[in-house]
Amino acid sequence: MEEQLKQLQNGLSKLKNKESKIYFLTQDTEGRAAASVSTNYTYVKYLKDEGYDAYILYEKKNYKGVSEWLDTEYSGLPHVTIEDGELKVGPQDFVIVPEIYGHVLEQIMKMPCTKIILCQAYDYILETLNPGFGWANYGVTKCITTNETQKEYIKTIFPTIETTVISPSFPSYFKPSTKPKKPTVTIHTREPRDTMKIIKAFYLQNPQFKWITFKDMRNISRKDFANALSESCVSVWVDRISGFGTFPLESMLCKTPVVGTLPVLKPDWLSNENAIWVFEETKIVEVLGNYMKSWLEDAVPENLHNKMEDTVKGFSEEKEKMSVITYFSDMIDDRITELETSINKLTPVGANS
Amino acid sequence: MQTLKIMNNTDVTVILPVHETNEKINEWFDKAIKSIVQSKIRPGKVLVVSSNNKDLKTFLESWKQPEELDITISYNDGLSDFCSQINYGVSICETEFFSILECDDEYSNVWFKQFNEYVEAYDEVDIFLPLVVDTDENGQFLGFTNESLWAMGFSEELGYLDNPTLLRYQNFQTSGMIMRKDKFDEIGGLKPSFKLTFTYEFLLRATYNDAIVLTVPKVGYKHTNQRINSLFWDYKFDTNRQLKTDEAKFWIEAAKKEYFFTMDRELVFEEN
Repeated sequence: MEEQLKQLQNGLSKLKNKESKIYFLTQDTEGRAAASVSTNYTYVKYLKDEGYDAYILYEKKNYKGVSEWLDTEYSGLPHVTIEDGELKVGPQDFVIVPEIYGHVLEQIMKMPCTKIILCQAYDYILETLNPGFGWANYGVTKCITTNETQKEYIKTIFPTIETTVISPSFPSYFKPSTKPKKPTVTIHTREPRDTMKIIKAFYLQNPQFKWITFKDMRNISRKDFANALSESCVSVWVDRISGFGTFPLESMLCKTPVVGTLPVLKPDWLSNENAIWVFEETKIVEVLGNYMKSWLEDAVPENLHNKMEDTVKGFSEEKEKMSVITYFSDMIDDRITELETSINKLTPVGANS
Repeated sequence: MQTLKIMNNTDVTVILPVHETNEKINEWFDKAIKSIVQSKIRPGKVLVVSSNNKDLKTFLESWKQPEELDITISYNDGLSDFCSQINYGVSICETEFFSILECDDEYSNVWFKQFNEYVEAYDEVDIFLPLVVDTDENGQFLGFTNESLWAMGFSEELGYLDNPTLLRYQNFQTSGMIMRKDKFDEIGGLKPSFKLTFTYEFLLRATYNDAIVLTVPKVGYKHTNQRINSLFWDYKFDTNRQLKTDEAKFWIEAAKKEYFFTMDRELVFEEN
């Protein structure tokens, strides 16, 4: 019993001294920019800045990292790999697993730590889970997601999981250009082949606009990405299964109107008036052609810009940071309370008097 | 009220050359003037440069000027060709910028508003070319001009016209452009001796003399393409003035040779 008590006291001290390790399992995108990966780095940075012992956790030793598309303040954060076998996880540690890593849950099931799912893309939740198995089967009790719509969806499939919404924020370099917009179209589609389909169809349907340049937003650094968005006069977004819609919000922050397809799961921020939405993907080209005509004639409705501005107001870095810190500190406080209760129960009566 | 006037005007003189009058031309002239009246932001001054002929004088003296515009009519006793009329207009223009409006064309109602925005963001630019919509006489859309500068890889820098690009492509439109008067004076104005390619020669000379030329990617000007009896219609279809292929080539080559020189000189095409 004394041994158990000692372990609990060590755990308590670890929690109180912010020595608990917080690992964010991170996908290797092999150098490609991805908003989901960026979120992990952002969370680790917030936690590190507040004195928590947070890490980027990756699978293979040959993890490419993010130095090609994120600043050194992110790429220089502490990293740990599973593969070299040095990862030691204790009961007072936390492992945050992206929803797409369902298959990893089985491997970490026996780890004596708190497991949390970070769900940014609802569409991947079931992809790697075995039929009939949910997160709870692997010892997961908590989930962080990015908006209320996803939270509702998660509740329908995993009713016992305690889900918390943390709205993401965007780096300050997502801002409007100081110069007038250029007649270029920034385009981001989930499937690369859709990008080329849209570009080719646009030129065929609008031969008078063959001089308009498209910029495929794949494989560029985050700052170049923001710069291209801020310079362009319109962005095109096709991602039916998006869980949050980072791209259109980044575009709105740059005051670049969006022509996009409506995602299946409509995020809370999306309204009929804050972008030009189409239901049928085949209509994108026609709508884009009409938009370009309006833009060239300086006839884009002012109301669209006002609605865009209203939409992005709610996504501040300060708010996100506060949410992340509060989430983890509350969780640690709860754990501290649990340990203190256990310690009290194990402490012989009168031992503290 | 004074402040409002300043905010709603640009430091631009529109030069509108006229050299003949008839019912059709008068109708276009009215439309051209109306396009300035309807502008969201108007140019500071309008200068009608007229040939000093009796019919035209009678028309202009009886013409009711719109109150919204500050219009001056100046009769040019010199040559009445397009280039000479423009050169004369610029010589008496008192604003920092000028723009050319052909009497059968129209400005879009946002062109001067756009100019205000672009000149603030690109104060190093000497010539702001509009995105020109070419139409037929019935107003049917035929295509754009000056737009190609915004095609990726067309010129050295997206949106800007440079000398090497001009040596490869000739088709740019200067009507509707807004240009710094000082730069025009420095490079020597339009050359009346040129047939067909005076605009081309002028832009070659401008870029050779380091003028910075940018196409504002907004529809700024509607150009009636090859109107019957217009200069370019005559070059193509009038049996007396028609240019043959060899002569057209001659004027293109002449532009490429003469743009190094500020002064105009008489050029004559001789058939072999």
